[in-house]
Parts: sequence; structure tokens; C-alpha cells
Amino acid sequence: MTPPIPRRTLLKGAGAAIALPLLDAMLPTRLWAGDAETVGAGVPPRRAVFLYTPFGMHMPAWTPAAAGALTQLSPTLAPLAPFTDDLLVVSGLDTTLPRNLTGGHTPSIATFLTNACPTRNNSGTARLGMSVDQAMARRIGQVTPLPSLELSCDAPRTFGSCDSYSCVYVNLSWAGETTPMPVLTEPAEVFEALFERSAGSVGDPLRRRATRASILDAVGDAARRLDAQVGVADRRKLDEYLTAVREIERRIARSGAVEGAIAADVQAPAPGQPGGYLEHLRTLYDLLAIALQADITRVATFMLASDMVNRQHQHLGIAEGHHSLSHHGNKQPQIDLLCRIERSIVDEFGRFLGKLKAVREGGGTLLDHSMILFGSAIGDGNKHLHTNLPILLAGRAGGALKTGRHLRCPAKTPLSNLHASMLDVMGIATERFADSTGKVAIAG
Amino acid sequence: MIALARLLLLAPVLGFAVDAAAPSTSELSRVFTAVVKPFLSRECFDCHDQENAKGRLILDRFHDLAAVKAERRTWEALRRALHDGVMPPAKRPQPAAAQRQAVVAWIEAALDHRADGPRDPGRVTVRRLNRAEYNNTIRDLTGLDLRPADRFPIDDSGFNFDNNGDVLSTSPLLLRKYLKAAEQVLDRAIVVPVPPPAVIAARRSITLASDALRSTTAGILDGVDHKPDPEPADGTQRLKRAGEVFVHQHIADDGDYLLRVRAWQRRFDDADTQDAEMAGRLDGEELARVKVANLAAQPGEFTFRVRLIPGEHRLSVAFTNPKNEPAKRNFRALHIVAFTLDGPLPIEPRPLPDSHQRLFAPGVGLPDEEAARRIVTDFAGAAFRGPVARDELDALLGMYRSSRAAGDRHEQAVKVALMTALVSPRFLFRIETGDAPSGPSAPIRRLTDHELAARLSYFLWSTQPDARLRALADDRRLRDAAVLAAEVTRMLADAKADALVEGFAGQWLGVRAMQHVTPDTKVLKGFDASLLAAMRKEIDLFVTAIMRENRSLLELIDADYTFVNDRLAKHYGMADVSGSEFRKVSVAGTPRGGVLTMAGILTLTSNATRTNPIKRGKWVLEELLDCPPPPPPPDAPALPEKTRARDGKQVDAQTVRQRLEQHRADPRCASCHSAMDPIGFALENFDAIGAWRTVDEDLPIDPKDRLRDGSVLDGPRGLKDLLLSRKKEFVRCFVEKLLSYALGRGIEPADGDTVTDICMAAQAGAYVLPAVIQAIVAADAFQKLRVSDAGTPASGKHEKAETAP
Repeated sequence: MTPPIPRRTLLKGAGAAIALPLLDAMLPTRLWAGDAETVGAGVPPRRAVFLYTPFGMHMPAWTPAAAGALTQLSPTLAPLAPFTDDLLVVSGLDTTLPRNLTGGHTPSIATFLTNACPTRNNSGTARLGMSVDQAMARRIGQVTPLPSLELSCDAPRTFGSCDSYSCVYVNLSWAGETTPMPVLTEPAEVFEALFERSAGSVGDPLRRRATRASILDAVGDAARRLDAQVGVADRRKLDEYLTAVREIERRIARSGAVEGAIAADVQAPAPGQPGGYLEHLRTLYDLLAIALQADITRVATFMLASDMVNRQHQHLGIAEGHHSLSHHGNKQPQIDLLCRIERSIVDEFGRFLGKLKAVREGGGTLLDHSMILFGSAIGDGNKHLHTNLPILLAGRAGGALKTGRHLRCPAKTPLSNLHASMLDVMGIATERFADSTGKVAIAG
Repeated sequence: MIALARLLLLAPVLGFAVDAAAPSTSELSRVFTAVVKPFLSRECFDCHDQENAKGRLILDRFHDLAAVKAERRTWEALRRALHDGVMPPAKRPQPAAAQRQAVVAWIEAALDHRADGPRDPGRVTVRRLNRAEYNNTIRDLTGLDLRPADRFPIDDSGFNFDNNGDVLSTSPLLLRKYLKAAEQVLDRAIVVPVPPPAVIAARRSITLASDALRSTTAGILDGVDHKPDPEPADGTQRLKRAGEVFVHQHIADDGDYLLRVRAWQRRFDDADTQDAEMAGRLDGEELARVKVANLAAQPGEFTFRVRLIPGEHRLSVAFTNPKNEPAKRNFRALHIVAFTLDGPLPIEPRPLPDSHQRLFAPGVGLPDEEAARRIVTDFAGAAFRGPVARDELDALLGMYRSSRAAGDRHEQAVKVALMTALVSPRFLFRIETGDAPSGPSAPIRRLTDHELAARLSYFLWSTQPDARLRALADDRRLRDAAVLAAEVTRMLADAKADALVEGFAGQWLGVRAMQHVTPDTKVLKGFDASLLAAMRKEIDLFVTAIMRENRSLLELIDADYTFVNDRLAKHYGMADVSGSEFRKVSVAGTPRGGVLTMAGILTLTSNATRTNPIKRGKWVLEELLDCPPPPPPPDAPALPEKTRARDGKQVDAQTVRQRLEQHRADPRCASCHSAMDPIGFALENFDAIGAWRTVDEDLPIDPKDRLRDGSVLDGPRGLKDLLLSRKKEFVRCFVEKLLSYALGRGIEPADGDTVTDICMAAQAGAYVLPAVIQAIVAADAFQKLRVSDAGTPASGKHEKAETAP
């Protein structure tokens, strides 16, 4: 019998940070039923999370001094001291963006998980490629209610251009060449996506679900009929629609276990943005942790902040924007302020790791069973260099990762090599991913 | 030499002047081969051929008129460079003036050239309704303005507009939102009579004290970020601004309930005669509005009676008439002490809402099955924006029947059928297949009248066609040019045309973007939410006036009027404007007038703490003249800063302008910056939030600059004159953008002649905005489509999902 999450759950209004429900070990095994082939029954599945931070990092403060065993963390990474044994810092990775690329921010976001380069002109369809998280979701996403989760603290911009590129490129996660995944930014929306529940839901959920299923059946038929009448470009759009229909039908068929696991009186967060970046960030981190814990999804991406926002970190008392500071022109006072911001970003990341480490599952912790990529596709933000990237992995992926060390990659190792290795860890045997030339030795 | 002499004699005869009768294709081609190509070969190819490609410009690949017309921007830039004497560069030998002029004249004629013969209408990828369109369409279908799409993921935009078919995609997330929205809208629109419970459960009273209540004044409201109100010490929930105090309550028993709210008001000031107003709401919908006259000493109790069916509900009260005057610290506020929920009570009968009656009207007096058929047919006809095929109707009625078979009541079953229609691709997508030809498929087809009606209504109103448009389409009369033009006039006069201003100007001029600006209020002290709201309103009203009063587009550049309220007037330094309503004022004789002097645009094109002349220059070049500057090179160094001491701290030693002048010193920078910077400098008298100033810090501002052709640009007046002198480019830029918005696709080289047609029509119509719109609607690109390979059956590869037992 699946115990409901106890009332101690404090999912309050949009203003309050969300405390993790205290699920105990009995919950997970039922939910992991779909995995008997790849993982032993009752063994917690591996989760992959991709966290993106903008404007790169000040690399002298980020990169640990020595390669090999991680005995000494760098100044920027110091807040992660409690998790040293769970970290794998990977340095020396490069993107494959062209050297003379201008306007580095949109390409950084676009390439971080796709390894593709956006085209500058605003014309026609934006084209990139499938991102590594979606490559994973495609293979393992079908056993969970949500194949993947895409979060961001900053809503996509829709006006003007983004660094001279079409703003469509300001998206980390791409299901295909021309299909960016939509992101969720508001806590109430995320909650609803996870638990299919929101404030003001009325009526019998089972009946509603059955009605939805038959509606989807009918409109799927309608779309298939239309498909035959339209031209090629139009068909692609209708195919997106049909894929969406199929996806929701699948989810309806699978849902029930998770929604039942959350007690009926847990309140949904109120709609709207939480006041303040820090609160917003923490709330989304918490919801992400819940999503992983309750096995609603095993693949997630989270844009912690967008390069398009020159955020003033007021809670640190810094008036200058993050973007402005990243272009410090080698002036020490600006560099110091920049490093303070970077340390605080890492600190918040550490808080998230702490949440994952506090969840016990299957003889270990949720952190033990996760593989979290944290970093950016900009290295030196001052010069918009897309080489020597700040990248680290946290979590042990169920023992597949050899953590507690700093791995220095040979010169010009593409980021896609790391992606390819991560696909291997998730049980998806991969020769190449995007433009990879080999693998990165992350496994134990 | 002989050819040259002949050209000099013949040039006027060949009609190269812009205003003369347009030279024919063959004439232009002849001169291209005889004069222009050799000129380029002599003067330009050394640097601008395939091998050298200086400045990324390759000129030896243009072989005919069509190639030139396909790259307008390049040739327009070339024309200007030749005309201004910037190219060939000074250190190279210069061509004779007459030759230069002849080539310039040829380029002008070529860019004005229009081919004979039909225009290629292009293809528009099927477009799904974007958020604004979805909201408006739902509003017009049901009569309820619920705006469910405000909770949808943001639409991606292509070519700056979010109605571009190529970039609008459908994800599972979005589809789930559509399902939910359809449920919510129809749950609200249709009342399914729920039989009253046989036994009314025991009545209880739950009192929710203030600390169990939540308020929503914090966060983003009306697009403006409000900081949370600090809780007053007396333990009440206080609303100082528009917002709600709410609670989520799980209701177990069906019945009527009394929501009792204890509240009091704080008066705006002692002289105020108006009381605070409070609206009771259930799940966001208003129940009733009451006046709260009570003061703190004696709170009042206000009661709302509401029917609650079991489930989770949001009960709230909203403060609907806030008023504050920050300078004098006066404000009106609503204090909520407690909510009490009392019930269940026996249910009182209530009349059916308008929306319900409207939807069920076709079936009145008929037996259920027949009523359902009529209701669904009418609804689908409107929702699908065209004739409903037999099998489509059968599918919807099938939903009705299975719902009944499962035990649902008639009204619920109708709801299910209508929900299906609202999630159907025929509702969510605007599918255009054109008039099916009787013979073999021609590559170009007319749109059907219904498809044309939809294009028209989504262009001008961002919503579905109304009854009149539908009737004209049903009668196949919409294709008549006179009828169509009359409809455009009618539609522009309708209030729904506000959507055109919101959608087009909102995105082109960036009014939508203004909600995200964050000027640093420590440095720019005058800025706050109400100033921002006023800035946006000014632009909206201005563009609306141009549209509704038949005014010229050129007033966007230069006008002698604008719209202000007291807040904005104060910001602009205008006297004698009191009251928060907007009114038209004259700005003749002042630097203001035209979008470039409006605070909203000036703020959008500034940084958080100071102006950014480069951003402003770039904006003008991109948005008004369609000649965007190339992006900066990757190793562009930061400009060195000089500081000086003042009041004990280091401040800039130079004005923003003085710092940026360094661009001119370096020729690598000057090539692009000489186009952008002077425009920004001309606007330097407007600070980062658009207020007029004569000093930057304490250094005087110099708004004069020399352009590369030698002329002087002086301040806002000078800038407006410069843009008016380039009005052809401005008009073309505007037309391309509006056409792109109207069609829902980007403008391609093949559209060049269509755009020229519309520009000519605009000129003939004295550039009034309605004339431009009429010309767009009359164009083939709007009324026809190019068919690529329609009719090829799909391979039937979509199986249905496997559903687990």
C-alpha cells in the first residue's frame, strides 16, 4: 500500500520555499516497476539533471589547482565542501562554436546541450539539433509520468532579437532540430505539471481523466484525417500535435500511482512569480528535487538564470548586473564582485545537493543515484570564450561515476564527448553524440 | 568612352530619376550590363570579389536585375555608400562624379522596379493560435473573457512576431494546457444542473483567521512588479493595491454556502467621500461587489452566498478601487480580518448565465439528441471557422452520445462535445488549403472565402471572424474587392482593432517588452510602476490614433501631438495637466513628438543606469530603416574609462558621448559606428528614462554630430528630418513588418515586388495607415497561396498510443 506523503509537507503559497515531503523507502519500488530489465527490481533508477548558469565563470577561481583526487576545492567551489566526495570536476572541455563567433550568449545557451551552433539571421526556421537530455528522455522517459522536465527562472524573451539571434535559440532543451522544449517558470505551473493538480480543480478526477482520454482519441483521429490533406511543411506541424496527443494519452494511461501518493490536502502553490530571484530559484530547486524523488521524471534541465537578463543580485548587496560584471576588463574590484556572485550561485547549488542527499532511497541517497551536470558553455565571460568551460558532475549515478576527483581533459576535447559519456552512464550505449570524437573517462 | 557619353546624354531620357516613369526590365538589364557591371568591376572588385570579400561583401556574384533585387539591403547600402562618397575609400582613385551618379540612379530605379505579371503569394506554414489569439477567440466563442492562455507557455517569435507559423510549435505541455483550458472555460460557460443533495449535511461554520489567508499583491500584477506589502501589526491582511486575499478550501458537501468576510477600510484621506470596494470571488469569478464603509474601530461583516460543489475551491475577496498618492503618503486600503464559511444550506435556484443560454439557444424546445446536433453544429461552425465536414460532425456527436451512454446529463454531454471541438486541430490551427481547382492542381490557388475571412479577422482583430464576416464568406461575397475593402474599414473602426495595435505595435515598437525594463531607481529616481504604465499607454494611444483617425505613418517619425496623463506630463516637463486620464496634447515647438521622443522607447533603448546611444542608434536602424548594423567583432575591446573625483568619489570624467567618440578614432570601429552613434547622440538630451536634460552628470550635452556624407545631425529635430528624408526606406521597413505580421511568415526576396506594390499604394494614399492595410489585404500574398505538394496523402504512420489496461 503506497503511503500518502504526510501532512508535514509544507507546500505553501508561491512565497514560501517548499520543504521536501518525507517519503520513506516503501514508495519507490512500486514506482520503479518499469525498469526490471535495465536495473534490478527494487534498485533505484539513475537520474540525469542538467543545470545551466550564464556568463561562464572566472576560471582562475573556479578550476581546482591540482588534477586527480579532489583534496582542495577552489575558492568558487568552496561552498560544495560537504559534497567533495560526490563531485567530479571536469576541466578543459570546449564547445565547437566557431572561433570568431560574435554575440556569445545565445549560442552558449543553444549549444550547451545540443553542441550545435545557431544561425544568425532571423529568417526561416531555427535549426539546432536534439539535446542530450532529450536523447535520454526518448530512451528512458516512457516509464515515468513525465519523460522530462524543463525549468527556468527566466521566462523566454519574445521581443526583438537575442544577441542578434532569433530568440527561439534561447532554449537549452531541444526535442529535435526545430522543436525547442517549452519551459516552466512559475512554481504553480510546475506543481501542476508534476501532480496534475492545481488550485480550483473541480469534480471527480477519475471521470475527468477518462473524458480527456476519449477527447484525445477523437482529436487524434481528426488530426490524422487532416494530415492527408495538407502539404509537407504543414504536416510537420500537425505531427507535433499528434505526438503531443500520443504523449498525453500515454501519461493518462500511466498516471494514478503518483497522484495518489500525494495526499489530497497538500496545497498547490498560488499562481504567480515568487517575489525575488533567490526565493524563485530555491522553490524551483525544491520542486525539482520532489520530481526526482517521487520518480515523476528522471531527466531534467534547469536554466538557473538566462544570459539575456543582466541580473542585479540584490540579496548580495551588489548593484551591478551579473552580465556587466562578467565583462570586468580585468579590473580586480569587478572580478571580486563577480566571484562573489559565482560563489553564491554555487552555494545555492550546494543547497540543492543537500536536499538530494537528505533523501534516503534503496540503501543510499537520491544524490547517490543522480548524475547532475552543472556549468556553462561560456568559459571566460570577459572575452566570450567558449573554450575551457566550467563543468562539473555531482552525484554517483548509482556507482557508475568515479567521483571525488578533478579530471583534466586533453586540449580541444569537445563538450559532446562528455554528453556521450553521460548517455552511456544512463544505460544508452552510444558511439557518438552530435560532434563527439570520443568519451570522457567519468565512469568508475 | 562613346558609351559613356551616350549614357550621359541618355540618362535623363532613360528616365532614371526616381519620379519618372519606371524603366522596363529590359532597359534596366541593358544598362546593368553596359554601365553598372563594368563600373563595379573597375572600382569595387579589387576588394569585394570572392577572394578578398572585404567587409564580408562580395559583389562579383550579381549577374542580373533579379539577383540585385533579391538582395535589397546590400544594394541599398551600396547605393548609400556610393552616394555619400564613402566608397570607394578615399585612399583609392575615385570614379567620375557623373558615373557615380549614374550608378546610384540605376540602383534606385532597380530597387523601385516591379516586374509585370502575377506575384508569387508565397507559402504560410499552418499557424496555431498564439496566446492572444486563443484568448480572444475563446472570448468571442463563449462570451466569457477568461483569458486562459495567460497561463500557457510563452510563444516563440520569429521575425519579431509571435504569430509566425514556422516557429509556433505544439508540445505535450501545451496540449495539456489546451485540454485544461477547454474544461475550465466550458465549466464556467455551461451550468450542468446538479441535483441538490437529498440530505443537506449538517451546517458548520469555519472561521479562517487572517493568518490562514494569503494575499496576492506581491509579485507581478498587471505586468508591473509590486513589492509585497509589509503585514500591518494589527494582524489583518491589508490590501493597498489591487489584489486579492484568498484561501483554498476543500469542500466536502454540496450546497449553498455563506462566505462572510469581516473587513474595514482605511480612507484615502479625511476628505475622501469614496469608500473602498470589495469584490467577492469564487474560483476567480466575481460573485458580487460591496462597499466597505466601516473603519478600524468597527469592522463590518459582508456576506456572499455561493453554490459550492464538492472539490477544491478558491475563495477570495479583491480590492477593486485602490488609490494612492505616494508623495503625501495618502492611500486607501482594505483590511481583511477574517473569512467565515457557513454551510451547507439548502440551495437557492439561480438563473442560467448568458453564456449558457447563448450556447444552448439553437436547441431550445427540441428533444435532447436533436438539440445537441444543432448546438454542436453551430458551435463547430464558428470554432472551425468554416464548413464542418460530415465526419467531423459525426465525431463530435459521437462524443455526445458516449457521454450520455456513460450516464452524463444532456448539458454535461454537450460540454464534452464542445470540449472536443476546442482541442481539435481545426480549432487550434488555421489550416489553409485554398479553393480546390477543378482541373489539375495549379501552383497558385485563391484562399476560400472562409480562409480569407479568418486571415482578415486574425490580422486586424487577433480573433475569429464575426457573424457578418462569416455570413459574407458563406455567400462567397468576401472575395469581391469592394466588399473586402468595406469590411476592412468596418473592422478598423471596431474596438476589436485594438488588438492590432497591441499585437503589431506592441511587438514592433517593443511596448510588450517594456514590462521587463528595470531602470535603477537609485540613479533614475523618477521611475516607478505608474510612470511605466503611462509610458506604455502613450504609445498605444498614439498608434491607435494613427490607425483610427486615418493619419499618416510618417507621424510615427514626427508628429505635433501626443497623449499624456498627469504623471507623464510631469515627466515631460509639461505644465497644466492634471488628472490620471489620458488626453491629447500639442507638442508643437517642443522636441517631443514621434516615437523616438517617447519615454517608453527611450527607456527600452537605454541601460539600467545610463543612456546607451549605440543601442538607440541600432534600434532606429533596425526597426525604422531595416538596415541593421552587423554585429561587433569578437575581439572588440571595452572602451577605456576615465574617472575624476567629485564629492569624494570617482565618477566618469566624460559624458557617455565623449567616451563613445573613441569609436571614431579607430577606422575598424568607425565603419559601423558612424551609422549608429550619431543617431544616439542626437537623442542624448533624453535621459535613460526619457526625461529631457541638458547635462550628463554635470557635463553639458552636445547633440550635434557630423554624418559620414558631411551633413550635420542636430538633436531630435535633426534626427526626425533625417528620417523623413529617408521616408522611402522607413515606409518600406514598416510595410515589410506589417506584411509579415499579416501573413504570419517572414518576408522573402520573392516578395520584393509585392512589397513595392504596397509601398506605391501607400504613397498614393498619402501614407495613411488604413491605406497601407487595405493594400496589404488586396495583395495576392494575402488572398492566395502557393501550393507546394498539397494533396499527397500521408503515409498513415501514426498509430494510436498503446494504452495499458
